[in-house]
Amino acid sequence: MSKAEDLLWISQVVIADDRRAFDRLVCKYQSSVRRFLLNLTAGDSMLSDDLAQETFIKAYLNIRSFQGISAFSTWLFRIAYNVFYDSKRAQKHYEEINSSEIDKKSSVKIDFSTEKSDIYTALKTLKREEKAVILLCYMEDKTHKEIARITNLPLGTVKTHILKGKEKLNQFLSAQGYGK
Amino acid sequence: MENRDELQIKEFFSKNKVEISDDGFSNRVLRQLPEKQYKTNWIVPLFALAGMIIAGFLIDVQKVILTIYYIVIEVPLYFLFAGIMVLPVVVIIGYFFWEKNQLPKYRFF
Repeated sequence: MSKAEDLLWISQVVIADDRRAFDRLVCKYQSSVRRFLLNLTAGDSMLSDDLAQETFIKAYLNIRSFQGISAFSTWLFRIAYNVFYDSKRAQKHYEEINSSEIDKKSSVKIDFSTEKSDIYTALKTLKREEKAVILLCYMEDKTHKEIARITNLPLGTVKTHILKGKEKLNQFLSAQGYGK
Repeated sequence: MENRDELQIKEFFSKNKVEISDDGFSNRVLRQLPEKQYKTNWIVPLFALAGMIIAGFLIDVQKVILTIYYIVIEVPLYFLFAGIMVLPVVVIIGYFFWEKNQLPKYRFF
């Protein structure tokens, strides 16, 4: 029902530019997309909401190119993933230009993302790709095949990232006294 | 051992999985949505139709049709065939380039 429902709303957006149908899609997926981006940005809720907003706007503008081969959520997560890395690249470029600003900025950032939750600390132990792949696998319940599509990585690489990420997380969790 | 580790991670993530409430997020997204270009596309056929009606009043339509008919009759058949065959090829090539420009990042699934 869920996929059929999505396809119905998507067709309404494509054919009649029905914004109410798009609103339903946003309401349905906002939580998972925002959570994914919130975890990727280490708890920066303002940045993650901006990125989520950009994700949905891009989805709306490109909805005609959605071919329905995979689930709509997979397509949406791919956009979110690209939006996040585009912003990272832009930020990196900006920081290279204005390095004096970074020191101030990073100190603010540390204050902002104070470890409210163990999850951000745990995710910090992972590499960039490992983090995204682990989040998609364990937090968003995506299959390995879907993750490969979202991240545009080969299936074997996805599996390797998950394996390595799991090892690191287990070390972290054991050190923190989980599972005792 | 491996299963225990897997369970530990699953438990850790499910414990930290929070549902984020909308809190006006979807409204903010809707307000930010840009107007689509094709909303104004109705102008083109409307003006074309108006132009045709005006032309119908100003021009001797019967004469025009007869002239076209004689031209078609006089043109060798293979010219006509070639002309008709070229159309789908041109359309396909045009469509290929148009598709190519449609944001390749998100279009493959």
